[in-house]
Amino acid sequence: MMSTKTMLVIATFVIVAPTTILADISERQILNKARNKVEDIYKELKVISDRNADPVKVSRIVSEFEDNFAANEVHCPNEFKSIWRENAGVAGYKDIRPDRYAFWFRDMFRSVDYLNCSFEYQTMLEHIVSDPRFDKKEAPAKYATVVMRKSYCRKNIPFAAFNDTLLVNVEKMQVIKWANSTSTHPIGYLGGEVLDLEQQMANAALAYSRKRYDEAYRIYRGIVDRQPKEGDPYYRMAVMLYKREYGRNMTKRDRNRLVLEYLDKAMQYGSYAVRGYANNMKYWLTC
Amino acid sequence: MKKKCALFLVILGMCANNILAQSDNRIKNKKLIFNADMASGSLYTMAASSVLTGLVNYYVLHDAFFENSFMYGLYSTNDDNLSVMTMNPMGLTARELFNNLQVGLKLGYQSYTPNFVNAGIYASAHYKLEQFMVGYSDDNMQKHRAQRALFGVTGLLSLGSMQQASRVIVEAGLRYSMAVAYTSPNGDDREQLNDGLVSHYAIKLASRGMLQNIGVFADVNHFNLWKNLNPGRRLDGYTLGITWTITPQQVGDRKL
Repeated sequence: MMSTKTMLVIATFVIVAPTTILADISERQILNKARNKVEDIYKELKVISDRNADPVKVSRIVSEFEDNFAANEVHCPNEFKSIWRENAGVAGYKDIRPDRYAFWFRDMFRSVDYLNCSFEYQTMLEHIVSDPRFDKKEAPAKYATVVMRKSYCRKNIPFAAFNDTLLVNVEKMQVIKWANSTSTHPIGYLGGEVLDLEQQMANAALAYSRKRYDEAYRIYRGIVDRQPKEGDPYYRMAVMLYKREYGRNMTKRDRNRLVLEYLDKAMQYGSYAVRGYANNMKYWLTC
Repeated sequence: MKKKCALFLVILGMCANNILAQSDNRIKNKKLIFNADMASGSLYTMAASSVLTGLVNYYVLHDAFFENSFMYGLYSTNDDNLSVMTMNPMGLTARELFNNLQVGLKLGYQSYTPNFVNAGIYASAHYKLEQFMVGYSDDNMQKHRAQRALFGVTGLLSLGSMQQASRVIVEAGLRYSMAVAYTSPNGDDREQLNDGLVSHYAIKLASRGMLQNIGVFADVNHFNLWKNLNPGRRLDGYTLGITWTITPQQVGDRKL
């Protein structure tokens, strides 16, 4: 006969284990979908780069290329200014819209100097990113970051290579950010990569969701050191300090002073939503 | 006229609390529950105490120490011929102004994190004065006055994240009600009264703005208020009320 204690342990395992496994499966499925989405985009680019491809199909891909991206705030890296030498027109542009990217990409591979060139890509890594919020239930997996290695080759020898980071909204399965070293608003370096603000925020969020609080705080701190008028990191840091996820060795007085200082800055520089969050949090702490 | 006057005083009290109240810019220890609460069965007394406690909170204590409530006692007996009446909450006589009065202290602990769910527990001690009329006909109602001490424990759940402007607070507790004194036509012997348990329930909405931390509560007696002086006769009672916490708010920072 099994003891009550043994039965309890078995019951707990029976209940908890499937939940954990299902959570992992769910996250893996989201990652797979995000990776497939990004790989589909690069497959389309591969088709565009093929001069022997059906012109109708290529035209359709080019015209529909923008559908892969969220409607607003999408800027694609203008790597053409460093690889497409004979077209001086591209150099005047910073980041470009997806439709312009596809258009130039097609034209470059069909220009005379690039007839023997090809496009190659490889998936490097992908990970889920959650916004650092207060409660696990409030932090659904909203984004996945996929890093792709792409090469422009001449006679199969790469003459230019980039590590693209794409931020995918996993709910809408649309790319909301696409950046590499040619992007116009890089603000720092991490692991040898030039990262823009969203990528840094994503990295901080990832570190936070993995409970690497010191690292998350350091990234947020690095962002505001370079971009003092970026409000969101101030709010995240205030939350982490108040929850004592960072600065456990600080005196209570210093921590409270920093929390209020950061909340004030978040209220001053944050997005509309963050200004509201910071304002409410300050109210509840000081009322 | 009396109603308009009462309504004016109530609104004045609430406005005074909210407009005058401001916060100093420092993080306060919200984990400690330490409050005094004052409840009255008279609208005038309640309005006056709201103004007074609001000013004390703002000018003297710089914190939301005092809570205010309006309460209305309801009574029932098992004797169909006997009627029990609550005092007029609009009355202006001394007995009506202090017809029901409850003052007390709460001391406890609550979690105060940015999480959506926070919980707390507090012990409370209250003094309660309740007056009511008992009689066999409306022309022959006699005044009864009971004084009680209540001691108990209440648990609370606060639902709502700090990033939101509002949160819901649910309370449930149990208090032991001890008779202290009783004045009735039968004499002044407190042995006329029973002791027993009272359950306390409250739900409040804590939010920013003019009506902050407003809610309703109910105290239900789980015993016969009268001891068995008249065999088989019961007096059951419960109290309903509205409550609000006077919370200094950051007037300057309210707009986003």
